[in-house]
Amino acid sequence: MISVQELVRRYGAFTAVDGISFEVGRGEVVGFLGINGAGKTTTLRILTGYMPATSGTVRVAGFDLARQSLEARQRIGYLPEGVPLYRDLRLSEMLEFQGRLHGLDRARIARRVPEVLAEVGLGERARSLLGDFSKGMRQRAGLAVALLSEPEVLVLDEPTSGLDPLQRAEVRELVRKVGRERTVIFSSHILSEVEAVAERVIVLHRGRIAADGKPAELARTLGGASHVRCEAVVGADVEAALRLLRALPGALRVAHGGRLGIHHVFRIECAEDLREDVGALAAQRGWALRELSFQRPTLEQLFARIALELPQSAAGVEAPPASASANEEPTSGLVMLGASSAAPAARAAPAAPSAASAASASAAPAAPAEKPRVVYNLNPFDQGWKRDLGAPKAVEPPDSVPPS
Amino acid sequence: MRGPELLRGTAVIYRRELSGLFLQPVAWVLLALGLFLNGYAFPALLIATKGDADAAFLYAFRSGFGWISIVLPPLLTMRMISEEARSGMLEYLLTAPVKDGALVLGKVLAATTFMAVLWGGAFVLAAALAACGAAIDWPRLVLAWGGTVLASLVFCSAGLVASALAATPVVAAFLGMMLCAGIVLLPTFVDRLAFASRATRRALIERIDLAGQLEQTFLRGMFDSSTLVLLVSTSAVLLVLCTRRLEMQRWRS
Repeated sequence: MISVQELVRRYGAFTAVDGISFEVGRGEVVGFLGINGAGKTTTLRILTGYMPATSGTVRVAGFDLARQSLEARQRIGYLPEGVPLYRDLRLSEMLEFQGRLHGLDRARIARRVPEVLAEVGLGERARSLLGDFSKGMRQRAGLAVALLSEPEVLVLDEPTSGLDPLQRAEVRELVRKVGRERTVIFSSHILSEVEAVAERVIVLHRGRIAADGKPAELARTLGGASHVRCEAVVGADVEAALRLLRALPGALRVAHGGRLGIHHVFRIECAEDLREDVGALAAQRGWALRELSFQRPTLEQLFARIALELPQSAAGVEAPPASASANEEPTSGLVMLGASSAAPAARAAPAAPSAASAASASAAPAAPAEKPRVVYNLNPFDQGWKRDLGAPKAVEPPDSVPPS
Repeated sequence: MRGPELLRGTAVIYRRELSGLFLQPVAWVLLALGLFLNGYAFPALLIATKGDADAAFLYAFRSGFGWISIVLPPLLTMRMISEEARSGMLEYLLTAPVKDGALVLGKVLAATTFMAVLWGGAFVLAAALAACGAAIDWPRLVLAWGGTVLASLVFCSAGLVASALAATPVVAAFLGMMLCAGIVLLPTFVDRLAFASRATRRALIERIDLAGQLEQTFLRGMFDSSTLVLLVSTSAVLLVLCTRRLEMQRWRS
């Protein structure tokens, strides 16, 4: 239904879409995923004929968009981001205008208007002014406009942008419903939405396709391995604990994620759930467990890895709660979250990196040298019984911050 | 295929724009103001021409041509592209199966129709005079009205170009007024420039003076094909410019 070959779009020296190629079959629901500026909207605008490509070819329903633009556009229903509608028109008038734009005759318009209104759940509001509509209703009205001409391809740019969770669910359900009958391409940066609606995800990053496939498959193959997270008191010999964990059948890789107070954090990569094995080992060795959880890779991890341009192996690696040096020279938990937290966050790739951690990772190398900070050690186990908990302790910031 | 497609698209856009214009309060205000000023000034013109209705209409159209043509068309067209680009409607329209030319043509014809209604106030005055027993030269009046509407097409086209160039309706209105004033005052500028002999300048001015040609032909009840060609070709050039601007917008957006 849609064939895109070597699509390039440049704005001066900036390349927004950089040689992407993909095919979308009839009846497929495809989600375009990517951070802001990844090239989603530009690609969709080219697909709808709004914007010409710098090079490459786009065919919609067999029509070359560059040479047979009108024929291709005739087969596309487009809901741009922001849902442009004439505020001075009533909903039925807007739909009639859309019908005339697409060359529908009166009888077909008269038949289609109540049909699409029923489909989007706005049958009661046909005579209402579009200017009076709430954002959610506008979104549904925009969808009705896009659906009126019974297009073979439906292109939706951020269809749930700016909606509250309830309205998002409504629109998501609508997209799912229309996706049963026609090809739907929609863009979003809300991962749950794409996972819930799309059969296939195309992840764009810096104008290129970073991943393309079914959401679950992508998460499994590219999002990183499944892992068991374990927080336990293992005593002083961490290496011995690591050796035991590595010896577990099915453990692919074991990483020590530092310390959280008296507990050590371990991340055991595995294909299957190893919680029972780890639990049994802990019971046998007398380790006090605080957390034992199994985590499967998610699309979110894949998205984060692509967005932050991390290697695949780093996709699921958690930020260690303490700096690497914490093992040799324990410091307090309060310091880790403050002055010296940038270093470990930058050194180890976060599992589900937030904007804040990304910012701290990128900002850390440029940060000026910090003065020693006075903190209170809240963890009596870190310093032993000799530590005077009431006295402040000066903590030196790290000398240098390693690159992320 | 191309001709009917262009016509269909033009008709759809024309209908929408015309209803949009008449839904705006500002359009009704402009219409009322124009008709009021015409009605207010016409008795004075009638007195000045010693009761010669045809001469009074000639003066009415000529004097109206100056300010109405500079001010009103840009006010009508200012929102047509700039506001739609801001609100995102332009993206909606440019992705519809309608040619860019049809989009531009539909919009300018809607604005010109509004101007035709405005200038049509002359028929109300003429009917009133006829009812009072005055002899009205109706074919002359129709030709004068038609010529003025054609001139309005030129100014609406200029206003639409300004709307396509400007980012906001206010800037579009200002730019449009400057363009329209430029069209009206172009012969004066040419006359002031000492780039050729006076005879050459006069010959050039005769060719580009829209107001002068209109006054000598249509407003006097004469159908003149050269004036018609001048008005239509000037509009066509402006509309092609506007269409090219929309294409540029596709590249830049």
